[in-house]
Amino acid sequence: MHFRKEITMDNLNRRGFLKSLGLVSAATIASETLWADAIYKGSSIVERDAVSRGPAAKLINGKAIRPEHEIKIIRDTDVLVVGGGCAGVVAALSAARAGAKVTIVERYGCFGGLWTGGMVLIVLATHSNEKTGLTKCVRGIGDEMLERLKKIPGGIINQAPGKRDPTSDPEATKYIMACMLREAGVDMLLHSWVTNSIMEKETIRGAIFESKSGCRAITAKVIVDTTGDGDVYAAAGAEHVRHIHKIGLVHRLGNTDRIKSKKRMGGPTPHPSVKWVNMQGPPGDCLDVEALTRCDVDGREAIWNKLKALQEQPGNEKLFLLDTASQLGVRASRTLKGRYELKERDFGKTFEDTVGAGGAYFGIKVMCQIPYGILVPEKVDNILTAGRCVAADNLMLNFTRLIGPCLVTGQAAGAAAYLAAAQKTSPRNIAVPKLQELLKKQGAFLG
Amino acid sequence: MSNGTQESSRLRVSYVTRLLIPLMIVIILVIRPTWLRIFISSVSPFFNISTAIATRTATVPFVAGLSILVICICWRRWFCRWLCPLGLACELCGHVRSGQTSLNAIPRIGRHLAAITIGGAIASIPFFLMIDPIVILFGAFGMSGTAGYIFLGILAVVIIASFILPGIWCRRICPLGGMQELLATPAIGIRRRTKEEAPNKKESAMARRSFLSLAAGIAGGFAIRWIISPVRRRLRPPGAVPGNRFKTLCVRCGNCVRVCPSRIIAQDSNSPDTIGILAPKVSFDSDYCRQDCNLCGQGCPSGAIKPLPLIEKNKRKIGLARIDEPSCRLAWDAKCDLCMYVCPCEAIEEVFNRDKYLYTISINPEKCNGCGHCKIICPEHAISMKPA
Ligand SMILES: Cc1cc2nc3c(=O)[nH]c(=O)nc-3n(C[C@H](O)[C@H](O)[C@H](O)COP(=O)(O)OP(=O)(O)OC[C@H]3O[C@@H](n4cnc5c(N)ncnc54)[C@H](O)[C@@H]3O)c2cc1C
Repeated sequence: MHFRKEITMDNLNRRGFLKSLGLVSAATIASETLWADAIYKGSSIVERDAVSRGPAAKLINGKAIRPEHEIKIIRDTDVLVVGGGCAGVVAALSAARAGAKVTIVERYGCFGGLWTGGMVLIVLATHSNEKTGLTKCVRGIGDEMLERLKKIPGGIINQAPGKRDPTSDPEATKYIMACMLREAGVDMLLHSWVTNSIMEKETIRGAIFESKSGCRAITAKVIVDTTGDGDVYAAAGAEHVRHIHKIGLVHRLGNTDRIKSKKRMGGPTPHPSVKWVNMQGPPGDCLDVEALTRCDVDGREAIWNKLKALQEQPGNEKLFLLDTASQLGVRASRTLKGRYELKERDFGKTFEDTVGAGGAYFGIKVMCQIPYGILVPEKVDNILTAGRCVAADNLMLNFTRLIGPCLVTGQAAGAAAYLAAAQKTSPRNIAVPKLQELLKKQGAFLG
Repeated sequence: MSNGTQESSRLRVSYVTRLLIPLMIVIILVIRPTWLRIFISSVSPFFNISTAIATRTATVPFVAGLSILVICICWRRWFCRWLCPLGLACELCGHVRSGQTSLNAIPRIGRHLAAITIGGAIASIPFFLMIDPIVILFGAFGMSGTAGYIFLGILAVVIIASFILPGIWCRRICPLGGMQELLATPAIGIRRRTKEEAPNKKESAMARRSFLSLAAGIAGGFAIRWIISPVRRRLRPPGAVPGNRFKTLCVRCGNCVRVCPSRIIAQDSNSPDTIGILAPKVSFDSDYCRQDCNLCGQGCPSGAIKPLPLIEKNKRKIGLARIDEPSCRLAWDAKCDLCMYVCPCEAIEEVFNRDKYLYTISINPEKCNGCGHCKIICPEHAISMKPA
C-alpha cells in the first residue's frame, strides 16, 4: 500500500514506473500494470472551458428569476429535427437523403426513443391484413431499417414475406439507426434537451436546448418536432390537445425458456430466453415530472414484486429481471391541432393529400391513409410534426402512435421539411403532389 | 254409447270440407312462416285461454282466436269436427279398424287435464299445455332434433292408441277436447232448461269434479312456483318470463330456435329438472345476441318470451358476464380491450389496481344485459355468462 502511494506521489512517467517494477516477479507485473495504468494516466486538465450556461438565476423577493442573456447559436441548418425517436430518425434520414442539411437533437444517449430506450419492441401496423392478403404499408426508409436489422444476428424476428409486425432487439436498433444517420451525413447531437423555441413573431426560427455544455441554440429553415410530446410546437404556440394516458415501465425477463411456469409472461424477442413485458401502468400525465417519478419508482417496485411471486413458483427459480427500460413508457401527452384530425372512421378512406399508410391495428384489418394535414399546425409557420404527437383524436392516437405509423409519418415529415427548406417556404405552403412524388422516389407507399 | 255412434255418423258428412282446413293447418306448420304459426296456435281455444291467462296479456292472435272460442261455446266440440288435424288423423285410424270398442270403462280425463291447466295458468304454470293437439303437431312437424323426435313420439303414441281404441285420444284424453266440453257445459244446461229436461245427475257430478280439478291446478301451480325452486338456472332468451313459469308456459314450438339469426338458442335436452326439458336456453358458444334483433320474442306463440320492442328487449338481461381475472390478458400486463370495445351497454371498464399494479376488468351488473358479445370476443376465454 505504502509503495503504491509513493509512486503516484512521485509522478513517475510510464517508462520509469515500469522500470521500477522490474524488480518484482513477472506475474506481479501483469496485474500491477493494469491497476497502475488507470491511476497513472489520470485526467488532462481543461484550460479553456466551453461550458457556458449563462448567468445564474437570481432570488429576488423570494422568486427565482432567470436574467436575460444571449444564447450561443451553434448551428444554422436547413432542417432541425428535435427528438431522435423512430419518427425523428426517419425524418432526418428522409430530409438528408433528399439533399437538406440536417441536424438531429436528442435528449438521451441513443436513438430510437420508445422503440429502443422505452423497450417497446414490437413494430405494429406494418401491414394491412385484408382478405386479399397482407399488404406492406411501412415501406421506404422504415422498411429499409427493418431489413438492415435482419442482417444482424438476433436483430429482428418476423421480418419476412408473409409475416407482419416484427419484433426487434433494442440494442441492434439503436446501432443501426446511428449507422444510417451517419451514412446519410446527418449532424447528430445527443444528450441535448430542447427546452424552448426561438420565435420571430408567428414563425419559429429554431430551438434552444440544455446540455452539459450549457444552454445552446440552433436555427433552421424548418423544424420537425418529433419529441413525441410536441414540446417544440407547444413552445411555438401551436394549438394542441392534452391527454392523460397509461404510463408503464416496460421491462425484459431473462431465462424465460428455462422455467416451468405455464403462466404467460410478455412477448417474444429475437432471443429465445428473453421476453419483453409491455407494462400498462396507471393513467397519468406524462408532462408532469412528479407523475413520471412516481411511475418509475412504483413501476419498478411492482416489477420486483411480480417477479418475486413468479420466482416463488416451483421450477421458476432461474427467472430474472434482465432490465427495465431507461425511458418510461409514456403513450400520449399532446396531439397537434392540425389542418386535419385523424379519426377512427378514416380507416379505409382515401385522402388526396395522402403521404403514407399505416396497416392493420387490432380488430381493424384495412389500412389507414395518412393525410399530410395531420402533420402541419393550423397557424404556426416553419414547423411540422411526426410520430406519436400528430393530429389525431383521442381514440385514433392509439393508432398513429404505433411504431409502424410513426415510421411513415417520420418519412413524410422529413421529405416535406426538405421541400419547404428548398423552396424557402413554410411546410404549410408546399405543393403536396411534389411531396408525394418525392416520397414515392424514396420508396414510400402512399396507400 | 249412443252419443258416440251418432257423432261419428255426423262426422262422416263431408270429408272433403273437413279435410281441407286441417290439411291447410298442417301445411302452414311445415312451411313455418312464424307469424302464421302464431295465429295457428291461437286457433286452439285451450292454448289461447291458457297462455292468455298465464301471461296475463291479450295479443292480437288471442283476440282473433276468441271467435273460435265463442263458436266452441255454442257448438259442442266444433273445433274437433272442423279444424283439428290431429282429430282427423285419429278418426281415420279409427275407421281402418272395423268393429266398435267401448270407451265406457275409461274416464274422461281430458276435462280434468284442461281444468288443471287453466287453474295452473292462473299461477302462470299451465301444466298440460304441451299436449294441446296443435302444439303436438307444431313440435312433430315444425322442429328438428330431440324436441322434434319427442313430439313425433307423442304423435305416434296418440295414433297407435287410436288404432287400438278408436276415439281414446279425442274423447277421453285430449285437453283441447275436454276444454270444449267444459266450455259447452253452460250452453247445454241452458238448452236443457229450455227443453225442461231434468238436469242430469252425472253431468253435474262431472262439473263439480272439473271444478275441483281447476282448484287443484291453481294450488299445484302456486306450489310449483313457490315451493319448488328452480334447480340450476339456465340462460333464457331475452324477455323470457322468469323461473318455472317459463318452463311450463313454453310450448317447445321451436320458433325462437329457428328465428334466432345468431343460432344461440337451443332446446335444453339435458335440463336438470323435468319441467324444463327442451325449453329453449341460450348458450354463447359461437355467437352472441344481436342488439338489432328481437325475433325470438316476436316469434313466441305462448308469450313465454315477451314480444318486446328492440329498446326494451335490449334492456332485458339474458345473464350476466363474469370475468375470471387470472385468465384475463391484463393479468400478465398484456394490452387488450376487446371486451370493452364490443360491449353495447358500456358495462365493462378497466380499473387500475394499485396493489397489483395491473388493470382489472370490472363489469357493471346494472348495465350488462348479458348479450354475450364479450364472451365470444375474449381471446383468452376469460369471460363466462351466468344467469343474472
Ligand atoms: C408502454 C408502451 C407500449 C407500446 N406498445 C407498442 C407496441 O406494442 N407496438 C407499437 O408499434 N407501438 C407501441 N407503442 C407506441 C410506440 O412505441 C411509440 O408511440 C413510438 O415509438 C413513438 O415514437 P416517436 O418517435 O413518435 O416518439 P418517441 O419514441 O417518444 O421519441 C421521441 C424522442 O424524442 C426525444 N425527446 C423528447 N423530448 C425531447 C426534447 N425536449 N428534447 C430532445 N429530445 C426529446 C425522446 O428522448 C425520444 O427519443 C407503445 C408505447 C408505450 C409507451
